[in-house]
Amino acid sequence: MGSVIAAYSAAWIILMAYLLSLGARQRKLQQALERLEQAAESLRAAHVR
Amino acid sequence: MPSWRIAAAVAARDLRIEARTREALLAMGFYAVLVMVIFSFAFAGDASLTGLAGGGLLWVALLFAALVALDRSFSREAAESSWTGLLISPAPRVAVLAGKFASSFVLLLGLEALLVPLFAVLFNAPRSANWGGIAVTVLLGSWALAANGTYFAAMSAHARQRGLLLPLLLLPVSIPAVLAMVEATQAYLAGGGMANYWLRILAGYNVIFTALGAMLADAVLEAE
Amino acid sequence: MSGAAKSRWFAGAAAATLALLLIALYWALIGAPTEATMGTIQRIFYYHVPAAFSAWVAFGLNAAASAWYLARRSPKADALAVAGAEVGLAFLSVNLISGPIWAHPVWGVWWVWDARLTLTLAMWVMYASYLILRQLTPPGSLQPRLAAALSMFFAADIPIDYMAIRWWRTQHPAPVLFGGPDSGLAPRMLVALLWSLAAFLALAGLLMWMRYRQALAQDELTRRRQQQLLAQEA
Repeated sequence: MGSVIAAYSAAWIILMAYLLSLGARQRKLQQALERLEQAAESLRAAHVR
Repeated sequence: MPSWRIAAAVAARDLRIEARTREALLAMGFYAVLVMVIFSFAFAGDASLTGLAGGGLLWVALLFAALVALDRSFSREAAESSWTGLLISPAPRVAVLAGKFASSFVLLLGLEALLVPLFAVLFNAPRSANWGGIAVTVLLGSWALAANGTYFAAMSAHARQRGLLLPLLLLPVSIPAVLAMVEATQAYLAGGGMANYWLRILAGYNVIFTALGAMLADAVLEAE
Repeated sequence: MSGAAKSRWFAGAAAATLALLLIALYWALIGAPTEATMGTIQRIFYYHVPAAFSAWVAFGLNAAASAWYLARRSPKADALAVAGAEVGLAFLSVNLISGPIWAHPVWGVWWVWDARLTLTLAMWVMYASYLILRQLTPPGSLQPRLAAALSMFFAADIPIDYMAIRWWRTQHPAPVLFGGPDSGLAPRMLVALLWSLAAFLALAGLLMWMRYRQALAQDELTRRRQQQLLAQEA
């Protein structure tokens, strides 16, 4: 049974690791998008002036 | 200018450069010999080595040398304005790629002319070996390595870590070709019967992948 | 579909996938009977086989998407291609790790160079090199094209690999293998396998969908960055 647990755990670890890496990348994307929005805002403000 | 002329011009230029600075040829040749020597130690100097692992050893040495030759073929171009000019021109990409392939192919054949006899001597290849068959294998095998190698060298020319990327791209795709080369060489050395089958696989492989490389030439050769 | 509807749909799909995975786990560990010859360790099969199948589906999508990209230069095609490659590699890794874990007690060795294992390892290296290529080439119009071309080489290569390696292995004395685990399945075992297959395919689909959306979002970000750069210069 030990080997079965090992194999199943390895599978779950690999797949969850990939899922988490997707999550991490998503967060970075969100942050970058927000920064872009902020920069666009300040640009618009500068233009208005 | 007709495509074959462009290809011939590119090939001739490359070969002329290599001939002029002979250092590269000597370095590659020495490198391949060195690989053969070092790897022979892995097999404990068994006299029956030729029958067991001989064919493989020859092709490992050639693979290493090919990687060096192919990398050189494109690393030089980055600095050359003539290369950029060629890519911007309406010259069909296939022609340029074909020229690159031709020069690499010739280079590899030259290398093999040195290595195969050396291999025969160092590893006591049996006199009964089918050397005609081995010559054909070397020809087809070099074609496979030069064709895919040229394509992937062009591909990795755009990337960071060029030297690392080329073997990473070339070797997995070349698996069936390398398998066929080694098995055919083994068969011809040992006088076995399977060689023809492997040569047919190799020939088929060359047709498919040369065509594929030609069709997808535009993807890899872009001026930036 | 509106943004809110999309997230609801996604949450539903995620929940369904989790449910499938749990059902599959139940069936794999408890529902399926213990195999007569191998014993408990045979249960690895319920993860090992569906993982391979999911990987093949993902790689197939990568190949199709790559061909589509070369024909149409569609960013959606490229997004699907990278999603298929990444998810496929993850599932193939599951396959390649569960295999030796099963093999060691059963065959006495971790690995043999038989036709199927050699081919699987070759495929793993290929798609790993695909991802490395994408990592090392600058983002832009060139990267998707290079990657798509490479994918076409794999698509041509894998069938030839299959033939050549198969032949190679029949010429040399093959290691003694037990009859494949898919020879003659008891009905309850088949049920377990099918639940696992459904669960893994659902997970693969979900992960690919997530990666696909992310790739498109990344493209969007790059585009807007460029726009902003131009706007700033003005």
